[in-house]
Amino acid sequence: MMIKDLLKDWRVLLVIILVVIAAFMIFPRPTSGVTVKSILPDSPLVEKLQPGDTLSWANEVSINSPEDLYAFENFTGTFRYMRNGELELAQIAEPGLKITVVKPSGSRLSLGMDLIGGTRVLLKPVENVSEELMAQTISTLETRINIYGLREAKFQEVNDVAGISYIQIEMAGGSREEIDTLLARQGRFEAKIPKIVTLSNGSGVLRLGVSNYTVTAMDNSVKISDKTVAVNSTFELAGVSWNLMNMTNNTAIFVATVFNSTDIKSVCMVEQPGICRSSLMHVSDFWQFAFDIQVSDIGAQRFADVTKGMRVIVDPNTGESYLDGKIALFLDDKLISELNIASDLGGRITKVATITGTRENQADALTERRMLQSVLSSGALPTQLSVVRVDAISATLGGEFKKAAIIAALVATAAVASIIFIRYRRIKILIPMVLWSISETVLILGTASAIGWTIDLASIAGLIAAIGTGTNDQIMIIDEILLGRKEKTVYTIKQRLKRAFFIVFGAAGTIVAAMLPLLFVGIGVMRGFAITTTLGVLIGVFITRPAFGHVAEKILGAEEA
Amino acid sequence: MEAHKETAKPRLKLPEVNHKLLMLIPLIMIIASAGYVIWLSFGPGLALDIDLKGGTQITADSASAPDTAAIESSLKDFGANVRSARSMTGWTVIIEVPADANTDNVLNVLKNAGWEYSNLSVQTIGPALGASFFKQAQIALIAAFIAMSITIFIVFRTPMPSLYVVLCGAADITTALAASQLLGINLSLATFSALLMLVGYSVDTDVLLTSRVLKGTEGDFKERSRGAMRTGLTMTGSAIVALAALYLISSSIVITQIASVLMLGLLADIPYTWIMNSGLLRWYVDRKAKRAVA
Repeated sequence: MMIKDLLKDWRVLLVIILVVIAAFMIFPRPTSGVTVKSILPDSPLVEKLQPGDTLSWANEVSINSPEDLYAFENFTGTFRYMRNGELELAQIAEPGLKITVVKPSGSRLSLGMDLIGGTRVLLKPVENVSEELMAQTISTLETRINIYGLREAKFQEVNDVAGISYIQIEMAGGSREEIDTLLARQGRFEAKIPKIVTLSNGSGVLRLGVSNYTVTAMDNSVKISDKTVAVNSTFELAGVSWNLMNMTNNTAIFVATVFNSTDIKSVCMVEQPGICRSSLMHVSDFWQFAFDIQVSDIGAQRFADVTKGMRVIVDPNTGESYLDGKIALFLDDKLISELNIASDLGGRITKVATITGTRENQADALTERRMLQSVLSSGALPTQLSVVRVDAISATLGGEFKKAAIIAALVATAAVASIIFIRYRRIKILIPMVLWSISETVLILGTASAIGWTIDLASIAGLIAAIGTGTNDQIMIIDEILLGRKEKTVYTIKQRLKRAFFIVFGAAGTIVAAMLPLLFVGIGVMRGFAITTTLGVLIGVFITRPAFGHVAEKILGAEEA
Repeated sequence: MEAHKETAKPRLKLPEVNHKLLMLIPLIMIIASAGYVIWLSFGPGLALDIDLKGGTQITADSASAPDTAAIESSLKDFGANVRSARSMTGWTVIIEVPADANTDNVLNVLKNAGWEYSNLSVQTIGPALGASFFKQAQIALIAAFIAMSITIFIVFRTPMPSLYVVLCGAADITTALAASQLLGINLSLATFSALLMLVGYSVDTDVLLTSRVLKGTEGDFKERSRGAMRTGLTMTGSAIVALAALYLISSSIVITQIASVLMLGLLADIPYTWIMNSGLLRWYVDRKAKRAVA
């Protein structure tokens, strides 16, 4: 009877409707298929799948769980699969798909990395950079991670109160080494070729394309094309950057930079016989990888000009002939490979360069190749970055946390309920209080999923705080009504409620005021706490508590009547 | 209005004590905790977690009771600091090393020592970033306090009672900070949030008391403040039991840190609100009454 009456009140109805909407926001209908989390560099599906893709079907079998897909672990042959609803094919030569997939969660609530596990990295530009450069840096990093293809990553620019910008990356995994070599690396690429100038009577000739430049030796420096260049200094000559590396009485060694990051037009990711190379070979005790890069026309011209007229030497063992001076490839001033230049390339416009390297085992060689391919293909970052923070949280923690959180919530509710029962000794009061606390939880989580807010550990703490103040307010409302009964002056329940709400609003205002500064602290590490607390308090004072006041008024009013 | 004596006996009966003498309790608490915090900040420094001072924190679950002293000595070369915490499911070991230590090497040493762990988490924060977080957190605490005080003044529009509420909030935070430091709970971004949250909880009971006493129309000061106290203690009590449940069950360090700091603060809030603020308000009401008579 009373419930029927209560349902007629618009405040109570509003709460019920909003709770239903919030529940729909949190739990949308179940999805089919599995989501691709990561693709190993040696997977046959590299280049064919991207993290985040949905696989729903493979070789006549519908895929609805990771186990469904793992049944293909020993499969070889033609693999037909539905990727994001479209049929695609892949040839699998060796058993093993080498991808990881997860069942998409049935909930729209996105949980933070500290709850589900993963790696969060905070990178800080070494110098101050403009908004534009920051955006460019992030996009370069995104390209890098996508090409590396390992995992889903979320990029975000975050600022602290002092106005310093950081790049925050959240990934499903990633070792410290991967972070240092893939993300915190600027990726400045340079290909250098040394040219030896023979000096006789203190002078010699540096040949560049069709031009000859006279080099005159001076004290620890040379004079070339009206420039005086000291040892170890850099200069420009005919559009090429040079460095005078060393000089003796008889020789001066110049190093020309023939290619740099901007000269890389494309990187060969997958071997295409006759077109481009991306290979891995077992050579005696180690694994050697090699891949091609396509260079720009200007770069190719530079290569031709620099190598023109270089001396040819013949390897006595193999009989092959090379130019006198290897091409050395540097990444961030670190030598990555050094290669002989076949003599027939001297002076020729060459648009392909090959990068090689060796590692002790196959997996390392593959990873290194993929890493270099990603860094070279994405280009250099406009700024150098330093890793200022890394959080790596174990993934298994997630499942346990959810279980613990539910148990904690139940026990905390039971503990509060028993205090309330001891105090009021009325089940009639206890039931709406518990119901209202649950409704507030659903409303806060529903709002979080609606606005796309990620629930992290700090948000959970905020949720607890919000529910706590909610319970406080309920106690205040009930006591105000009960207290009014004893007073001689007759106050209507409405007047008593008004008095209660003065306290409720006053306290809510101060909590929100106290939470605001937290939004800006520690580049938002505790933002989740402030947002959920504020959200909870606002939902409480404007939506749920007025309705609770009405319910308490009806329940306790019926007692008085 | 006719003077009315409440005939129904209040359920909660406090022994009649000289309330001026009673005021000594919160006074000593304030002086002791403020003194301790000031001594810490100017002397040995507040105990900070890595998110405020920088460093690497490795947390791992261990099925058996970890021998923290043995782990610490095996990681001597890294200058490690090892703590452990008991959770519902087992033990959590917290290892702190400087930010520039190689965590892979640390883990290798542990592995070689035969220590088995699971659920490994590694957090590294650069010292400069940690220091900047600490500075920002301090600014946030001050800003929150100012914002809260302004709101209180707007709500009550009477300077003295508002000041008492603010004073209680400040006392709560200081005592919670001092007590948590004393119990070995490091200051972190999580405990900082707990301190800010405490502002909210503390204000709840103070606003309740002040508005009942100042805006109430029935009974004398004692009756009004006792009514408020009954409500306030129910509020604080339910918050404390809920936090105790979280503290005992949760395996997350963030949650246990927040829960313990809030519990300490709420316990301190009881004497601050119901003895100190109540005493100050009584004095304020008496003085106002005298002035009205004169």
